[in-house]
Amino acid sequence: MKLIRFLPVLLVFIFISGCRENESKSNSSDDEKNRRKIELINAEDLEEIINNRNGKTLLINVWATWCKPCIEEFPHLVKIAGDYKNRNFEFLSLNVDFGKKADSLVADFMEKQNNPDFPVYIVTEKSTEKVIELLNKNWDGAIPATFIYDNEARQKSFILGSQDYGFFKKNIDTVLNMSL
Amino acid sequence: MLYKIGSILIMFIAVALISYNTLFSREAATKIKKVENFSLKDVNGKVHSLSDYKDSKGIVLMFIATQCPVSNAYNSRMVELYNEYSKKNIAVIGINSNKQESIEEIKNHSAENGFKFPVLKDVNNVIADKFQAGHTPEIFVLNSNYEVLYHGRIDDSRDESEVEKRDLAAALNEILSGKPVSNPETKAFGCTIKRVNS
Repeated sequence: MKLIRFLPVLLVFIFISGCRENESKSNSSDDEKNRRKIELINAEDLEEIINNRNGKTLLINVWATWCKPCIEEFPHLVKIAGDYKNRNFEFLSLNVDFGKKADSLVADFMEKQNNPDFPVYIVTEKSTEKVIELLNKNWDGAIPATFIYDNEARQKSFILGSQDYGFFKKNIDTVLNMSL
Repeated sequence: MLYKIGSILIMFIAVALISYNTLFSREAATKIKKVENFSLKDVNGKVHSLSDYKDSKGIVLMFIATQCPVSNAYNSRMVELYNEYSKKNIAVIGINSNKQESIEEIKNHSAENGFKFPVLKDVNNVIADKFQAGHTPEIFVLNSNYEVLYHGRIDDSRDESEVEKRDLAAALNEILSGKPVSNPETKAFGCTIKRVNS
């Protein structure tokens, strides 16, 4: 008898709980939708991007979420990418995180950076040495490292170590002016 | 007059070229082929000199770090390497040149990871500069004349389960067989060595 008296309350409770669960499922699927999909890249595809200039200067920044100096300079590069968006300029972010969680680590980091509007790729492990050689034969693989190519795919700048907005701007402007 | 203008123009071009190189080129220095004997202290204060290992069939110097995830991904592989090759008369030595990693930290890190090989503290990155070592982990293998026989990575994957090429082991096996190292230079991504002037 008591059970029958409490049945409507129980049904309402189950209904609300169910709604909440659906609501949270819907939120998490929104999160998944907003979550950036990080693509993998190998040396051959990277070479194609470098060579396919279409009259644009290209900056490639090599970084990892485990690299503190990379993380320090990243916001400067986000600002650079935004400020040069409407110029003859392309920005490419090349991540070298490793392991099975690499893509989620990168996606989380990009989310914290408000998902800036530039391509981000993770270098495939087996392409590591080829990518290093492709970007600069004198580079030993230490990161962060940044490379600037002119509009004819000639490398004009090889920057080792963490830098700031002003330094990148100076280098990009010089390459852009040379490309005019 | 024309001669003067020409000289000024040449000087201007020369200055411009120098500025261009300064602005654009921060390239790594040329590869080192041979080093002189040097001494460093390990985490217990014991002095180690290269000459102490002159009778070894090879000297493996590993620039490593306590805080670098790439270097740390290789901790167990470095222990295995020591276990496998120290009994074949190959000396295995770690060097820590990072300015922010203290002797105490290195000592704890070695104990936690079961390093049986000595880890030497390179104060003011003097030895990293001599070797032009740029990142961790970075390996140099020397012969008894301190000539560099191999330089580069331990293997081809930071993820142990993905390893296909054990480059360092291959080089050591060739050295032990008296053969020249067929692939003396390899590359991998790593953490920049934090130097005193950086």
